[in-house]
Amino acid sequence: MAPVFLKSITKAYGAFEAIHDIDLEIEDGAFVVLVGPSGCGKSTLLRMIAGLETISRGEVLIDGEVMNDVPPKHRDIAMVFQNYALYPHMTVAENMGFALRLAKVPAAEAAEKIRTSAAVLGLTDLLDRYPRQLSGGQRQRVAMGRAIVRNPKVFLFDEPLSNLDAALRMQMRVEIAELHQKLGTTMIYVTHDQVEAMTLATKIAVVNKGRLEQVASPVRLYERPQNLFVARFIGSPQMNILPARAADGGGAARLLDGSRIALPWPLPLGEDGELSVGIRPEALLIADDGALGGRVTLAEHLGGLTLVHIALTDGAPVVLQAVGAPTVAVGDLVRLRVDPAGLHLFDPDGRRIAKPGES
Amino acid sequence: MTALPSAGLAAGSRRSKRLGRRSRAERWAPLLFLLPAVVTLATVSVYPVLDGMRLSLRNTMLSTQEDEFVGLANYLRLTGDPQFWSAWQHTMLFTAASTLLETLLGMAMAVVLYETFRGRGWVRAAMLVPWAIPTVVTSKMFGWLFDGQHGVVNWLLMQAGLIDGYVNWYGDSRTALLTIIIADVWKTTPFMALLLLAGLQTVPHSLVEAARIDGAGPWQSFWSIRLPLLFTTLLIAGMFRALDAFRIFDLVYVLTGGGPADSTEVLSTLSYKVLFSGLDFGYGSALSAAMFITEAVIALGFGLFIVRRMRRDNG
Ligand SMILES: Nc1ncnc2c1ncn2[C@@H]1O[C@H](COP(=O)(O)OP(=O)(O)O)[C@@H](O)[C@H]1O
Ligand SMILES: [Mg+2]
Repeated sequence: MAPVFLKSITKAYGAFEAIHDIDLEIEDGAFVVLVGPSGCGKSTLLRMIAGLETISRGEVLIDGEVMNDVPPKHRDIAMVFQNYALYPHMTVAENMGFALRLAKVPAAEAAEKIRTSAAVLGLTDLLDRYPRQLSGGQRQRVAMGRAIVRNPKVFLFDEPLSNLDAALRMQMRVEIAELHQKLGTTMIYVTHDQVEAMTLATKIAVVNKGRLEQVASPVRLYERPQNLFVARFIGSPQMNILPARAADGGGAARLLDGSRIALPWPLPLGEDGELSVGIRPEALLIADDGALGGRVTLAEHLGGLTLVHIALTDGAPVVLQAVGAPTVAVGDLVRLRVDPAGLHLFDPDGRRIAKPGES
Repeated sequence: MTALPSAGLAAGSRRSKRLGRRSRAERWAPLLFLLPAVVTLATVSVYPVLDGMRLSLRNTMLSTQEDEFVGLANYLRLTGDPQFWSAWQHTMLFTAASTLLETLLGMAMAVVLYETFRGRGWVRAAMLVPWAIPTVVTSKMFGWLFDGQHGVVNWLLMQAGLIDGYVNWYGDSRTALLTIIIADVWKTTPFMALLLLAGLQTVPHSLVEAARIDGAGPWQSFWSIRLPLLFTTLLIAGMFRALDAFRIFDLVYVLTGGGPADSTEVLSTLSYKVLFSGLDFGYGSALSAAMFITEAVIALGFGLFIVRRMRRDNG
């Protein structure tokens, strides 16, 4: 167990900078998820913490020690790779015991550790099998077993679930969360899937083009996205983003189709100042006195929830998420009201315009 | 009640006749496609081997026009012929030494060439030069390099203080085979290295990274991860190399001609001499048959090992 600090980390591949000057503080025992679109530099960042990539500038500290020039084997970390990277010529037990063998742990002690770790992950019956004799989910488990058997200071996961089918992914997600609760070890987890990030993390770091967009708890990230990127990235279905201008002396936002959304707090913008209005799908409500109007283009019934796709009067598409099954049909004209709790405003540079009371 | 099943039977047999016709064509088509390859192999490979076997049972001699069936007489002569057994030993020694050295050195070169460094592409390309040079040229080159009086190797070793007097490398029966082995290693190691490099590249890099995180240093990750995963490739490359080395001819023929005092005589050069200098086709064919059998045994040994290994890896 150990805290991890990244201090102004930069990674350059030749002239190309994959990571720009990232600072991140990971507390002891935290479950931090690095999330972002493909190619944004998540793996590079994780691999720098692991010691598989050199650090171009800045420092990585694990448990208070600078790790820049420390080889991976002396960092006391374990990593689970996306393709699992199991040694194909070793049995499950040998895979799990490889690190112990290298560390010259006595055979009896190693066998005991392998047995207990295998029990935690339900691998006891598979110990004599080779990786090729396992299903995808079992391989994934072995990869985790190989990590936990060493009892490292920090666990690193690089998209460990993305090769699994949806049902298995959900199940393993729960198991990883339980594992974290049981072990209490610092975990750094990379994924491009924001649902995984939201469900697993104690803290999420949103990465975009080699920069940190925002670091916060899942709830905080959802409730106060600091910029348009985070607003769009976090939440499913996506937040509706509509261009608008300030109106009524900052008391309302006027959309392109002319409709006005009254704001419960005054905008710090001059008349006609540009802004973006973000509305969470669940903050759009069908109501006869609603400020917005549009036509239903599609209704997706998900069981407990329904997603209603609506084209506003100027054609801009929005998605509304309703509980249950509202009685709307394709082609219906509807009025929409906006719940201020799910309303977010962004300036022309995409930065959040703080609501009163927000720090 | 009784008419119905028989009508069904008749219809069934009609259908099976139609099916039979089609499946006959389906059965012949693959054989037809195989025919060109079979004919080619039969004429250039199987027929010569069988004809060689036939000749080995006769006393065919071009100089005396003898040509009679003599049974196993040639083979009996072979078992008691010290020239044959010394050539057989030289060939086996050369095969074992060159295959082993080339595999070990080739592996080392492959591991180095796998790493990224400036100019790696050029080095990889340049490596193939020794292999691309015609063997006759290599032989002449080594002839000059290892010359007993004017050779640069002697001079260099003398300067380095490793020898007291000039060594008559391939002119001395004690060092001649060694010289030939050195020349062959120089020529063929790079090729081996490229084969093994291709093998190394099939080992996923993430395995090596996982091993690094598990605490393996470069040596440990080589011994525990890369080598075991490369072993089948290594065996296959070794087998090809061994079968090739066993047929060694040009290097010996040009550099020493089998001398001095038959100390570098190998089976190829011996059969060549018996066949085309002695014109003793019967005995020469028996020699060739002995070569063929030894090669078959080597191939079988490697083959069994490789198959067992593959079974284990994929079973
Ligand atoms: N070895 C490398 N050489 C050059 N560019 C690289 C290398 N590895 C990754 N990159 C680049 O760095 C960026 C970040 O990659 P990566 O960290 O793998 O992204 P992801 O967020 O999908 O894990 C990408 O643009 C990728 O092309
Ligand atoms: Mg990645």
